[in-house]
Amino acid sequence: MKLGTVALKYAARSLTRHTRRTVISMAGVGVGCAMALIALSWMSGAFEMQIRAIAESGAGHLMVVHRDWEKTRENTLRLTDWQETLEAVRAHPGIRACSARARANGLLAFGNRSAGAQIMAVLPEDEFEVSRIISRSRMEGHYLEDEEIGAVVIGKALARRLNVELDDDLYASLTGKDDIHSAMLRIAGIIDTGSQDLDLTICHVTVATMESIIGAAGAGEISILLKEQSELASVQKSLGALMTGDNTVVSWREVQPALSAGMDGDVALMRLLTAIVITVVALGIASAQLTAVLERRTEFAVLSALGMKGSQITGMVLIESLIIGIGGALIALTLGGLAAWYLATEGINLAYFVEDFTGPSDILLDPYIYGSFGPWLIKYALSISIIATVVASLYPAWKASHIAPAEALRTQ
Amino acid sequence: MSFVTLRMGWRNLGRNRKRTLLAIGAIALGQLTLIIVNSLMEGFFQDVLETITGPMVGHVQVQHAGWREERAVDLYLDHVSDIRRGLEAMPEVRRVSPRIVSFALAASGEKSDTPAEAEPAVIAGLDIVGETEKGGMLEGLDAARQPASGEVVVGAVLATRMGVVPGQLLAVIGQDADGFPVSELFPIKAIINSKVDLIKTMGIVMSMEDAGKLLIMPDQAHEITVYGHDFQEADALKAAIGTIPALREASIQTWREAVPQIVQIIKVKSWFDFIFVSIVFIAAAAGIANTAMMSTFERKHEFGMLLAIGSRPRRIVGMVVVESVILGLIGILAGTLIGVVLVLILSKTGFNYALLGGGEADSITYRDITISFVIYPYLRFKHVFYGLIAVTLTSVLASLWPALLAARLEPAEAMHT
Amino acid sequence: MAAVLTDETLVHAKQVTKVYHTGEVDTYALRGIDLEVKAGDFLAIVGPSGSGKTTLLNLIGALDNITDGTLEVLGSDVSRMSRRQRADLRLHALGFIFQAYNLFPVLTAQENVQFVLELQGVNNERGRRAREVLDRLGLGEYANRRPPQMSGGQQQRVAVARAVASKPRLVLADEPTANLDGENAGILLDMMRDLNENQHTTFIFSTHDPRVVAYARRVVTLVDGQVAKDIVKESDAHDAG
Repeated sequence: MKLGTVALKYAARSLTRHTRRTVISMAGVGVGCAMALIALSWMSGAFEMQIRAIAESGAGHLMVVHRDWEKTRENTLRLTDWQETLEAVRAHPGIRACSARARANGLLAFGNRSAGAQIMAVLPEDEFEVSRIISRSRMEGHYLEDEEIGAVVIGKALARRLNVELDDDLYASLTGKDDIHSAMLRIAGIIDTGSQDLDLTICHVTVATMESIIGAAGAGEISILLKEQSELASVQKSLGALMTGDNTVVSWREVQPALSAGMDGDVALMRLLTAIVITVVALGIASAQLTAVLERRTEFAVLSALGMKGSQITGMVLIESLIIGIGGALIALTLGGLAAWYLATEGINLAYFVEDFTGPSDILLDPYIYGSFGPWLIKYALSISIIATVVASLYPAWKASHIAPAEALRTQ
Repeated sequence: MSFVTLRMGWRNLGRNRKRTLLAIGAIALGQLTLIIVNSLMEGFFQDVLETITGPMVGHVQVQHAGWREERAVDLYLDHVSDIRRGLEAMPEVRRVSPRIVSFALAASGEKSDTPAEAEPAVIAGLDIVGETEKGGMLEGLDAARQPASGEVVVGAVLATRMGVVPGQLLAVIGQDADGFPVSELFPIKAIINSKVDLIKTMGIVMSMEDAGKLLIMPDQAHEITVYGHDFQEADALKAAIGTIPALREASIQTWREAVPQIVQIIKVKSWFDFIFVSIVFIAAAAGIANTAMMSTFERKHEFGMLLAIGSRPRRIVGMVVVESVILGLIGILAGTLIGVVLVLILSKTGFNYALLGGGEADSITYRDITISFVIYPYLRFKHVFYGLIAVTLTSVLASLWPALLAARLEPAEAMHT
Repeated sequence: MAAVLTDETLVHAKQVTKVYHTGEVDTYALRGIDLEVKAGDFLAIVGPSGSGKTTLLNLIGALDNITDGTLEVLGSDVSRMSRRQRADLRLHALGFIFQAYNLFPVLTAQENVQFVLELQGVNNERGRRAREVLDRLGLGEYANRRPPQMSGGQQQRVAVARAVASKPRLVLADEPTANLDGENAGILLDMMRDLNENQHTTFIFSTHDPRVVAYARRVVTLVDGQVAKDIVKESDAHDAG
């Protein structure tokens, strides 16, 4: 099915015969695709923000854990050779920051107040880099110093519950592997994260402190932040190859499966809605194109009379649709591109709607969501718009080639 | 607008079935999407609201003024039975549920070689029978599994962590109201999987009497959860409760005040929902407008003829608008029917949001509430209504313009297409 | 110079019948037409409205299917041809001229003519050949004009140019003069007769315009879907007014 230059000129110029209609069709496609682009920009921005929030709130992009941890979620499991592993991880080029921790359950008491808590042993300098919960919060007193023994930092709401202040001594009972150990811990710092629920989860001591209380047990996890979120899969693989003993590398998805499922659900829903949007647009285009074809029956009859093959007529109509699709893509790029650019630079300030940024599962969210803006917009705008328009025009184009010429000419 | 105009409009639609069908398809798809998405959102919110105003917070919460922040055992409400009687006498009150809540450590009380691991837990002293009602913390706990005096029910996640099963002994270690350490062994009657995350992950449930005995809190409670007849009327309920003299110093909060963050999430989610819905709507409108305009431009010749034989421009415009509106209404009808059927089906089977994304989680926990990923849609008339208005408006406006243009032409000009 | 009628039969219709089934009504457009057209003929088919003139022309032009009978065009049985074969027939062997809508408004006169050549697969010389045809027919000045910029008469003449550019054996013209005034009709008919005499292009008209009948050498009259009369005029009839 060859179409020569005149045929192509014909197709292109036919669109200019009724400029208003052509523009309306392009606008229809353009607006619909612009919506799709905006949705996609927002979605990938929100998704990225959430991953970053999850990672920086403690889970890390990746985490080195005991191989049984994913199933049992036992926080008393310990890594093999944690110090060597930590150094190996730190040496990896894709790593922005990493930190080792150990957790133990316990009870904190002061006077007649008590509270259950999960006590986390950290490497203070590393932890500060790895966790936004620590680095972004207001601190009374000071955060832990390396090797500082006998000090604890707790969240403000927890401090209020226990009715304690800086420099008070807390009585802590920790459950170790075989026994319950207790110790007095001096409150070196009180952290105000801005969220009561998050505050309640914070009870940090140094690794040295925990070892002094329950004996040398080492770290149970190494939390890792990457330089580039996009490199997650490859870094996970290369780090995994370095692991020894019972150690394994998991991603934030395994650490926060519910969040992961929720986010995937969000993405899937967005994609579904976008697909529906495009289908609705396509149906509208199909209806409009069919109308246009029927109106031009005489024209197509003449083409057929001249000896143009059915496939060539179909091809010509499809070329017209292609042009409409491209026009629609340009409109979509303008509208959608502008909106995406706004989203990417100004972002949406969640603070308008939410005062407290604790997300589900103790994540500290970013107040701003920035959309995604980049050359992908062009690719998507073109493909969505062109595919939708051309597919929508398949039936009308077929119809154009099957107009009974005699009948159309008879009713002149 | 005469009958003839109506009839002509109707017949004109039948003239080209396929084109009409495509346009109807666009409208129907748009409407059905709006209905389903809105119903799912509504179902989700209903679920969250019911969970909040059900077991967790009730309609109104009464507590000692400082207890909310400090959760100290000694910040309790006194003379609870009197207060309860007073509340239950009020006509606005449907149910009263006093609770004792205190942090503790728990461990398996069974003899074994290795010492048991203690887990952080929460002692929940509840009105057992009352809480097994619909909307209570122990909803679904049948009589056979309810703890008798001296027995406890353990939250599922806590039980798994401790490795205990019903029939075994549980050791509970805590502090009483005077600050002295207490410990007891309790036989475990049952394991419970509650919607309230606190209970599920840390709960040791016993009767109020047992908790009061353990923690030296006779006739005392940390919070009293009050249920009215409609959770939307919580403010009125709160006002009524405030008149009870014994509660003048107490903190009385409606569920909205008690968990403002959740209310916030719902607001944010509805805002986002509105955006999604607007997006679909705008796209649908673009499609509809496209069709309406095209079909009107196509008929210029015909309009010219009608004008030539003496028809008034107004009649032509009317005819075109009528056609568009009929088209729109048929589309809405089709979309609504299909949408309603789908919603009915989904409301029986549930819609697993996580499955949509290929995930495998069941639920997500947010601030003490477990929100299930399985959503049961809930249809409101207004969902259908918005679509109806929106489509009708779009159809009318989109066909009005070209119709007005056509009607203003000279007949000869119009026919000379 | 009189045209030379060869013995070659271009169109052979035997008992050709055409019925239109529209909803509940059956319309018999043609009832058993017998007709033979030789190469070089300049023939007018006349008859009142509804007599089937256009239908017959459409059938000969392979634009429609016969219901009964046999119809051979240029030696091929039209009813046995596939759509593609018919398109090929129209492309290479036939030319059409219509009463109204003829030229494509978005193309210039030259492009209109070029279009057909392009369809035929002529690659390099399309533009030149198109221009040549236009020039030969005295239409060179309109080459770059679009139909909206030409009068009805000019448009029809360009349509003739387009119809003959591909050097067809047979040109079918359906009421070509219906929208033209006397002067333009005359110019058009002169052009077509010229082609018939010099290029030996066969013309079949369907018409009820007496001017066309005057030019025609043979007149076939259809009444109610049947051939009522078939008259070959004496030569030199083109002087009639």
